[in-house]
Amino acid sequence: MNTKNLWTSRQNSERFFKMQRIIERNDLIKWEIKDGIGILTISNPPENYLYEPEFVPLDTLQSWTADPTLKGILIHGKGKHFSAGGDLKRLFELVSENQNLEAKMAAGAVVLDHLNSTDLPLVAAIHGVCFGGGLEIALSCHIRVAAENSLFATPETGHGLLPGMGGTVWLPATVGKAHALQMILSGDMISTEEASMIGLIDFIVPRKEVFTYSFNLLKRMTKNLHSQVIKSVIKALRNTEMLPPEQAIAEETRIFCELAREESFRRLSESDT
Amino acid sequence: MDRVGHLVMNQPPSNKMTVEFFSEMEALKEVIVGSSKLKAIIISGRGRHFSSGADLDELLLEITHHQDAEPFLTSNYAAIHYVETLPLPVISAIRGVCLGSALELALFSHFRFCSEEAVFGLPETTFNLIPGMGGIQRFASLSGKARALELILTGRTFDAQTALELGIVDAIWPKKELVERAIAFAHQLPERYSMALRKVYVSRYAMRDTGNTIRDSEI
Repeated sequence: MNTKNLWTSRQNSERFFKMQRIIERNDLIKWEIKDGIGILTISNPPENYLYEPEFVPLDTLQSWTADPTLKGILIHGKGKHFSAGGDLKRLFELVSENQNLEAKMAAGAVVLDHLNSTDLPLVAAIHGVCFGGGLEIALSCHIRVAAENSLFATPETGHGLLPGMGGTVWLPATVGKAHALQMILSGDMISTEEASMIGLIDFIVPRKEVFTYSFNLLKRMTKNLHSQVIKSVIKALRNTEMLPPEQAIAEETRIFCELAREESFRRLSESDT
Repeated sequence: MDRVGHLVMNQPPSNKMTVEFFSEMEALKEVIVGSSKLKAIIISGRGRHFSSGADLDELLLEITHHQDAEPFLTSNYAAIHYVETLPLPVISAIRGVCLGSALELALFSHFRFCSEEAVFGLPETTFNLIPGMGGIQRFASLSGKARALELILTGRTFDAQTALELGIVDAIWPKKELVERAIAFAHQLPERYSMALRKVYVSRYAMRDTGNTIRDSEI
């Protein structure tokens, strides 16, 4: 066997493993649309570890969310837990394989950005553990519904890391600097009740009802509305976080005018017929 | 009770906010800013209700007739937003319904008190619109994103107790005593309250707007 052959066979085997990984990865996150609500299931039980920071390939997610009939997205975990977060073994493997971890982490953040850029209401239905990267996914949602007896934590610092997919930004924005710092530095788990007290979660429901409650909440919020109105509200809400107040108001006015014009045309055409 | 200004929305029964209302509000600004003896302002509605909000038919008509509707809406916004920037406490005393733009006006006041039967809501989405005068921003900052989104998207109304839980109102008082208690509240505020309020306002909003610090002497 000459060296060239050896090289190709190694390449082939690498390609093979890569393919296998892609197949595995695609199975780890599932997607279905029910009554206009997209359901994203983290499906790597029991702990629902995230295979990579980019927990679902961006192009896959983009093709899923491109459906124009979509009115909202629900994220939940299969089995007993929401997600225990990143797979640390895999993470350190990436580092030792000399892969660009920073690019991988950034890709994870881009996935969360993409979910937000759909301008659809995002609801996390949480039960069991919701740690690290899992919590960061939940934090990127607008609404967090949690079962009694769920557990929340950012354990990264205990492994010499920090929440790296936006957690250090979104956690303080959600619960305030003091609580965020306490959670991140201590790595301590908190209960559903504690999470509710610090404003980390918005609704508490019995374990068996988490999914149904979240699904019905999304349906209730969106069933009578045109997607354009839904997206306008989400956009305006995001502007209040991203833009200086006066600019956010100016945008709100602009969006309002756009909708008002369409509404008056709609009324006119209705009165004509 | 002198020195307390009463701003009464006076188009009962629903006290709709019409084009006329907004222009009168705008004109009142000078009067209010000019009266140095005012200690506080109480906003209320005449009759059973605070206000049902903007006159939607009129508003849509105005917007379709304006080539450029944004300046028109921006001036409506300015006509109610200034109450927030006044260097004296502004209190909304809310009875009956308080919907849409009326709730946005109430959200610009520094304190909101309501009676037990008060009804609140941002129903704009049910008319294919959105709250367009700061409602989304102020509501979310008081109640949190989740509840704001829920109530804005469903457009459903909610009662006084829910408003209190969400932080939308500061207290619930009996209907008959509401305005008197609001006046009493204004009177028990310390003399230097206005100055302090001005500073709080500046630090909360203006600095975020411009990134500049306004010195004490300028306040």
